[in-house]
Amino acid sequence: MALVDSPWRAIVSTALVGTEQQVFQLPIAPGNLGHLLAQLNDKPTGTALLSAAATVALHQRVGWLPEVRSVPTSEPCPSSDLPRCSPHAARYLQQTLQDQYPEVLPEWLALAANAGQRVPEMHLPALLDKGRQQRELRAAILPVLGQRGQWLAAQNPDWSYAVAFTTAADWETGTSAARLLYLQDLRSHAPDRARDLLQTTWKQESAPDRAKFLASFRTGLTMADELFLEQVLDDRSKEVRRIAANLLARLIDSRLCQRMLHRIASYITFKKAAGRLCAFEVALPETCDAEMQRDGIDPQPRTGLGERSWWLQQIVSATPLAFWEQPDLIGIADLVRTAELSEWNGIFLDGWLVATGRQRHPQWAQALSGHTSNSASDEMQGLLQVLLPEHREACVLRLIQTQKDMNEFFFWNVLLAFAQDRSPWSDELTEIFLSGVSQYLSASQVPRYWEFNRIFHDIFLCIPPRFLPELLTLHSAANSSPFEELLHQSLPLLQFRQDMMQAFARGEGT
Amino acid sequence: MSSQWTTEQVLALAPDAASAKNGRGLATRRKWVSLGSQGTVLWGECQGSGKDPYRTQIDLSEPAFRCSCPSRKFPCKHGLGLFLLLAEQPGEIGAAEPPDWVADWLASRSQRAEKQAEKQVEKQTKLQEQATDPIAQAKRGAERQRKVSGGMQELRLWLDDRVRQGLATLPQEPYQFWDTIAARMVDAQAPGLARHLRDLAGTVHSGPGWIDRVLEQFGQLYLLIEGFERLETLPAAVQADLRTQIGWSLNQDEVLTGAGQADLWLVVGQRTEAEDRLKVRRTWLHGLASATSALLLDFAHGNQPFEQSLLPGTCLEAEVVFYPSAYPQRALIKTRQEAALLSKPPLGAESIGAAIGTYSQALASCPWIERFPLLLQAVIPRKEEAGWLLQDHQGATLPFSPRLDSTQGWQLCALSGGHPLAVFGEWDGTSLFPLSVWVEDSFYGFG
Repeated sequence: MALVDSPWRAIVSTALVGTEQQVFQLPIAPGNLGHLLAQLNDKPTGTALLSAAATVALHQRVGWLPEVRSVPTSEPCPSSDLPRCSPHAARYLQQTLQDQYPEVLPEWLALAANAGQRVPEMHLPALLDKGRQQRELRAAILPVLGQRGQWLAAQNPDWSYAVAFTTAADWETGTSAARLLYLQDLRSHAPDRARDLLQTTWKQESAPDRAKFLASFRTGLTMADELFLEQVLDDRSKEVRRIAANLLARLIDSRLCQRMLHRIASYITFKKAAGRLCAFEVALPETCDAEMQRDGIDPQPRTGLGERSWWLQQIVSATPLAFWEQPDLIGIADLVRTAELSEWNGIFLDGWLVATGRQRHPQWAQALSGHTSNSASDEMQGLLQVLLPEHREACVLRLIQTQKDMNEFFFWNVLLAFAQDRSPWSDELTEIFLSGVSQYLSASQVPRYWEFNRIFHDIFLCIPPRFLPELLTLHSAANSSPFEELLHQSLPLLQFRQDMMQAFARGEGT
Repeated sequence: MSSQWTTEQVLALAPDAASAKNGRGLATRRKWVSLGSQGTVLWGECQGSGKDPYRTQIDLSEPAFRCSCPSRKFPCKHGLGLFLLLAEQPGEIGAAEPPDWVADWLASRSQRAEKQAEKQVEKQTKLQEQATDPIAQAKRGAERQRKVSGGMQELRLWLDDRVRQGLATLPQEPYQFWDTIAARMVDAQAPGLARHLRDLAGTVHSGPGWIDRVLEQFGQLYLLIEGFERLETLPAAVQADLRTQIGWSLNQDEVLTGAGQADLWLVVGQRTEAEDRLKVRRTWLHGLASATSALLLDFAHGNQPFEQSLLPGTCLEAEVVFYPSAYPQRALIKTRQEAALLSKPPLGAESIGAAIGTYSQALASCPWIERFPLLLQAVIPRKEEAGWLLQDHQGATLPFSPRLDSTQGWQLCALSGGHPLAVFGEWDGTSLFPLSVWVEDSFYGFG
C-alpha cells in the first residue's frame, strides 16, 4: 500500500477529505482489477468509492507476499549439550521462579549443577532475568545454563553477564559485565595473569569500571599485587583509591600496613603493672594529613563519633593484629577484656573487628565472639564472616559447647547468624538445634514470636531434610505450645526441599 | 501407570493461576492417602483440612474430572494435583481395582453418555417436527429478513455520509457516534454488523495507517450490503458466509445433522480470550489424514469451566461437522473416541510462501476470514529492533503479533537455538500469533 500512485492511495486520498470536497475518480488499474473497477463507472459516487475500496483492499490482501530479506543472525547453538533436568525437577525451578519459596532457588541451582544437568529451554528466559536482577545468583546460574542457555544469553544484551568468555582475546571487546565475570574467574585460579591483563588496559578504563575490576582483587590477593595497588593509591578516582587502600590493609606486609604500624606506635602506649598489661594509654591524632588520606583514612567521621576517634579507629582497623600481641603481654582474650574497660573501648573493639575481618584471623574472631556474647545476631554474623567458610560451623559448635551458662538468646542468635550462610548443616549441629527446640517446647510462650518465625525459616533452609521425621515427632509433641504454630508454618518449607531433592535423586536428565 | 502427559499440558487445564499454584502444591505423594488406577481412570484420596480426605478421580479418555471437595473451580486443585502427579511421577500410581466410589462414577458416566445420546435423538426428532411446520418457520424468517434489510438500507446511507463528509475527522468523534449506529444494527437483528461497527471505534485510534484500516472495514461492510441485496443469486455457501457475518447464528443441532468428516484430529493450538465476563476459547484441529483444519469455538461465563476438555498436543479420533461456508473452518465435534497423545508435529507447509499461498486461496473464496491457521514445518524465530519474526530457509519472513510478550519470544528463541522448528499459529493477515511449537518430537503450548 506504499505506492503513492497506487489505486488504493487514490481512493484513500478522496475518502480522507470526502467526496464533497474532491470529485472521486475511479482509479485505473491493469488486468482483471481494472475491468472490475470499470464496471463501477455508472454507480453513484458513494457506492463507487466504497465498492472500489472493498475490491482493491481485498485484491491487495489476497496478493500479499511475505517479505524476503536478510535478517542479522548469529551462529546456531551447537547441538551437543548437558542433559536437561527431569520435568519433575524443573517444576520446582518453576515454582521458585514464580516466587513460591524463592529463597530455595540457590539450592535448586546447586542440585542441578551437582547432577550435571541443565535448565530446560522454556525456563531459561525467566532464570536469566532473575540473574539480571539478583547479582548474587549469577555464579550459581552459570553452570546450569548449558550450551543453550549461554547461546541464548548472547542474543540478549540484558543477559550479557551470562555470556561465557573463552579467551583473553575478548578482553578489550567484551561488555563491561562480561569482562568483570572473566576477570573474577581468572582471579580465582590465575591471579597474576588477571592483574597483568587488567594493567594492559588500566589507563583506558572508566572510573566505575576501574572500581569494579579492582574489587575483584579480593579473590587471590597476595603480596604480588602490592606494587600495583600502591600505585593505585594515587588514582584520580576517590572510590578506586578507597578500594586499593582496603585491599592493602589486608596484606600485613604491605607498605601501607607498615606505615600504619609506624603511626599507631605514636598514639598507643601499653601501661603495665607488675609486668602485666593493665590499660592502654591513648593519644588521639591531631590532624588527618594528606599522607593518612592517601592510605585510605576517611577524614569525615560517621555519625556518633568524634573525628579524631574516628581517625584512630581507622588506623586500628588497618594495623596488623600482630602489633597487639607483644611477646611479654597477655593473650588475646585478656587484651579484649582490657579494651572493654578502656574509655576508648569503641575504638579498639570496632577497629579490631574490622582488622580481624581483613586479616582473617580465627583466634581473634573467637576472642571477639566470646566478648560479644550478648550481641545481636547481625554482629555475630559479621564475626562468622571473618572465618573461612569451612571453619565457620566448627566455630559455632565450639561457641555453643564452651559457653557454659549460655542464655537462650545467645543460643538462637548464634544459630540464626550461621544460617545466613545458607550452607548445609551437619547432622551434629542439626541435632543441637533439635534438642534446643525440644528444650523450649515446654515454654508457655514464645518471646519475640516474629523473630523466632524468621529463625525457624532460615534454619529450615539449611538443615538436611532427612530430619523431617524427627521434626514431625516434635511437632506432634508440641501440642498447643507456641512452638506448634511455628513448626507448622516452617515445616512445608522443609517438605518442599525434601521433595525437590527427591526429584533430582530419581529423575534422569533428558 | 505410564504417562506421556507433560506438566505444561496439565497446567494448561487450570482455570486460573491460583488453582495452578495450589495444584502444584498437591502434586506430591505425601499429600495422598491412597492412589490407584485402572485403564484410563485414576483416583486418589487427598488429605485436606477436614476429617475425611477428598476423593478425586480422573478419566483420561476425555479427560474428565470429579472431586468430592466443595470447590466450584473446575478442575479443582485436587484434580490438577493428581493429574500432575501422574505426569511427573507415574510410578507412584499403581494399578488397582477401583473402589466403590470410583466404580459408581464410571457407571454414572456411561449412563450419562447414553442419556445424552438419547437426548440427541430426541432433539433431532424435534427439529424434524419443527421443519414440518414450515409456515411458522417461514413467517419468522421473513420477519427477520425484513428487519435486516431495513438495517442494511440505513447502514448504506450512513456509510455514504461518511465518504461524502470525509474520514479525516473520525478520530474526533465520541464513542457515542459509533455506538448509535451499532445499536441500530442490533435493533435490526444484525449483531454481526454491530460488532464490526463497535470495533471501528477502536480502529480510528490504532495509530499510523488507521485510515487504511478504517476504509478497508467500510469497504467490507459495503460488500456485505451489496451481497445481501442479491443474496438469492449467490451460491449457498456464500449465502451462509454472508448470513454469519451479518449475525444469523446457526443452531448447533441443525449443524450436527450435516455429514461428519471422520479423521484422526490433532489439537494443534488453543487460545482463550476474555470478552467482559465471557471466555471464548478457540481450539484448532488438524486432520492427519485429510490435512484440513477445523476451528472449535467454546464459550463459558465467568469462572465456569468449558464444557469439553481439549488438550493441545493430544489427538482424538472424531467425526466433525463443518458449518456451511465457502471456506469451511468452524466446526463441531459430532462424535469422539478416546484422546491419545501424539507429540510428533503434523506435516506443515514447507515454506512461508506456500503457507501464505493457502491463505490467499482461502481469502479468495471467503473474504471474511479473520484468523487463518498456519502450520509451518521448519522456521526459525528471530529478533529484530522492531520485534519478533519467523524466517524460513528461503529468507521469507513473517512478523509475530505485537501481543506476543517478550518472555514468550525468548522462550521460542531458546527452544529453537537458531535451528528450525515446527510452529502453529493464527495469522490475521498482518501478524502471526504462535500457539504451539514442536521440537524434537516434544510439544510446547503457547496459547
